[in-house]
Amino acid sequence: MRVKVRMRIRKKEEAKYISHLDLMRALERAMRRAKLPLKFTEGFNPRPKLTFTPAIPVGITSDVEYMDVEFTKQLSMDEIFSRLNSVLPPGISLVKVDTAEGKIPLSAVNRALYTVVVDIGNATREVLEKAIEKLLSRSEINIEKKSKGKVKFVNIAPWIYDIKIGQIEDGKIELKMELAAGQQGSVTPPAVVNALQEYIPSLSVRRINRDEIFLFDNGKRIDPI
Amino acid sequence: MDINKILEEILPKVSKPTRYSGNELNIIKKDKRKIKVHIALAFPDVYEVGMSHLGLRILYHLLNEQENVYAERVFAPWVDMEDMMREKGIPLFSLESKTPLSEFNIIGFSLQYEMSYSNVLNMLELAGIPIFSSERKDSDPIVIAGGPCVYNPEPLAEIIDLFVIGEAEEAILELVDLYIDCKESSGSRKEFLERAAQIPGVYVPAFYSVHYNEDGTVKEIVPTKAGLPEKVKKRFIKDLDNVYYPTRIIVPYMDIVHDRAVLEIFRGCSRGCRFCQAGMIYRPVREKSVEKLVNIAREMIEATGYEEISLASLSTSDYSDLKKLIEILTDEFRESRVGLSLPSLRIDSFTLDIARRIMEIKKSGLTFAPEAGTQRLRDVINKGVTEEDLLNSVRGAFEAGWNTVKLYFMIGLPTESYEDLEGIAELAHKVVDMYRQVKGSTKGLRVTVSTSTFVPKPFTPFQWEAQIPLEEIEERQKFLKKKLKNPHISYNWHDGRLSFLEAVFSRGDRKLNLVLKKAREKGCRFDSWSDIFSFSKWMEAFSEIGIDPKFYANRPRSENEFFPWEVIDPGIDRKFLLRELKKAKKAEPTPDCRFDRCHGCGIMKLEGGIACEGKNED
Ligand code: SF4
Repeated sequence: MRVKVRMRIRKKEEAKYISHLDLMRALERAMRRAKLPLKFTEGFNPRPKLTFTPAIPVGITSDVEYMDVEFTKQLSMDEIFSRLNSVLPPGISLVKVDTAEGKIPLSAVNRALYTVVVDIGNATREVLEKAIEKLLSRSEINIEKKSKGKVKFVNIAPWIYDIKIGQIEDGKIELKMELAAGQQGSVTPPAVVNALQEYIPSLSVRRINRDEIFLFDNGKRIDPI
Repeated sequence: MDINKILEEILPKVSKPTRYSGNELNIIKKDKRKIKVHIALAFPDVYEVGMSHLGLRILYHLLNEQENVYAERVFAPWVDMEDMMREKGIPLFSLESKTPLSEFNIIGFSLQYEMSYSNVLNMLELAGIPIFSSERKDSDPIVIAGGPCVYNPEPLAEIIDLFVIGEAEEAILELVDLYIDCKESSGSRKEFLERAAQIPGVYVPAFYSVHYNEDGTVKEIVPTKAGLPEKVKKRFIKDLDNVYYPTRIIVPYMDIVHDRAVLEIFRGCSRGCRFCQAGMIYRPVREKSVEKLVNIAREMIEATGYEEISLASLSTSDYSDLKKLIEILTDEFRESRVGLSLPSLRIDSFTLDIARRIMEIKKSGLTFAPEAGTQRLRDVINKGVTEEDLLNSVRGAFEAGWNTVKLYFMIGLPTESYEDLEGIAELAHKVVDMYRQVKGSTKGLRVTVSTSTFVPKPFTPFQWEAQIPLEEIEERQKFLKKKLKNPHISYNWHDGRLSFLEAVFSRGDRKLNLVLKKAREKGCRFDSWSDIFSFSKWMEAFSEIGIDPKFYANRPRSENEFFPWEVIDPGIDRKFLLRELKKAKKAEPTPDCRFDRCHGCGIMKLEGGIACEGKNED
């Protein structure tokens, strides 16, 4: 028997420095503690069958880490939720558990929303608004990217869909970023912040959270759960 | 200073920030105001090395079981983090509550290898605690140390306030009680240290003075206070089956060196390899029962979710009920796919059978440790393996489907000649031939030959022997490199300069404390990390202090020389060690006393003599 389940997981402050690989390992171990009936791959080195949404850089919290996992037995979603949630390490929690049947594959997501709290030092809100406006109007923002030891330049401009200024709290400004996040292309907030620093050198990041991740197709948004 | 707040700023900028963030599963947090003793368990290497260490984990959980005690962990910050900390003025802090080390009552260092000593000094420095014991005040923490290195405490005798010799599970709790008692009376470190020195297994070097001979050797080490033992007897746990063993252990987020649940199956070893310190100092052999082990394994996996259990001991195949243990464990964990790993397994026909069973679950390379290349030299070191045994096991392994074999050897063993080195190369080639014989070709075969350099260790029959000179180490490595040219064989060797320094510190005396301080001032740290290790800085330190390191590493000792480590009594008789040395020189083996008569190593005389009863001393 093969039962495919989708989970939405939250990675909070206490766990924000763990890497994607660490998170996968932590979840696999948690499922063993919860005695969930994991389905394993065949062969000498059996692994549970897990798939994830795109990795986020270390240091970012997230409300939307999705994982698909296969079980060998049918269990109620409530039961999976309560058994797993009670054994997760500090900083990791479950938001929702659902069947993965009939949903978009996790590899299909292509967009994410982030909250980025920044400190702009002695710059004003107007300066920030200008900077964002300029940034969004550019058709080319080339950043260095290292892959397999080689440095290459990629243009992230087409992947920045929107940046809005949100709440302001004791000098800190909340930015809402809508960015590409998927196999066709992706950019994460630290790179966008770097680009903004060209206009406002005093700008620094306080906190980043991934709020949502979904498939955006033909003007329509489809969430993984 | 709010360390948490500064960490927010710097952790995103350092490599592997989870080394410093804490918050792992099963971590223990306590209210600092509600405890009486605050202990930092310090490991002088990075997180992923320190967390792989069983002793640290046992003590962490054992101490935290005590209501009055809060034990936290601290590791050596990697160099990028250290730079940041120095730049921002952040003192070394604990992982759990991010408390500066200087605010702890006790700091306990785990000393597993000599080349971590510079990190001990660096950590004290980063914590703002005076390096020398004599400079510490009542407000400074008590700095203690344990682990295998403390069987020769002298090279750190002016730095560490108090050493715990041997297995610490009982002694550490006695020290904690004493600490609370002292805190309630005078609270002075002097009172604490004086009373601590009365606890069996505790060595307080400040109360022992060293006298030297004219030739620079040590004449004697004598207690300077009445009522202190002339030799400090090691502590050991008599009833291993019932000693505390943690199951709800911390599960790190990051990938550590040994990332698995560790099941300690026994302590001690009676094989009597003559180069092996662990085989001497951890006697007598004491096992845990199968029932106990299975329960521990079950609880551990339930509490951690680990995908692998590793059986820990000095020589896994010597566990008396190994077959039964493995059968029960493989059955128990078949469904949840928890793998078993058996490091230090002596491969023979019997264990090969076991290895096959384990392969049902997991496949990994096979390791053999013949240690020397010829039968003569294996007899010298009392490693009871014959070439025939080895090749038979290798054949079995190839037939069972393995194609990766690792062979471990030591070079520079007493009496070694180039013929013995030649033997290493021949053995490796015979393994290749065996594969060809079994499989028809050498396709897919990988043989790795690794050599380390022999370091004469205290309390072994070779404690009187010299290490071969550094130039000679490199010569012999070169020779092997040439002899092992084969597309299926790769050859690794341990840096000879490190082995040389290890040889200095493992049999060093109190004069080396100054060298350590000097080396630290020159920036030495993380010496076992080849990208950071600086041999020239060490050599400068020796010459500036006016000490010849060769005096310690390359000097053969006379039969009746007193050794600095003989202020410690590990329960092994000097007479026995000398007997073994003489037999070694004649290439005469001594069989394992489990299957033979007792050879009178002396451990029976140690308190109770529980382990080897029913045997007659010779
Ligand atoms: S006392 Fe005898 S039987 Fe016991 S470990 Fe020593 S040699 Fe072996």
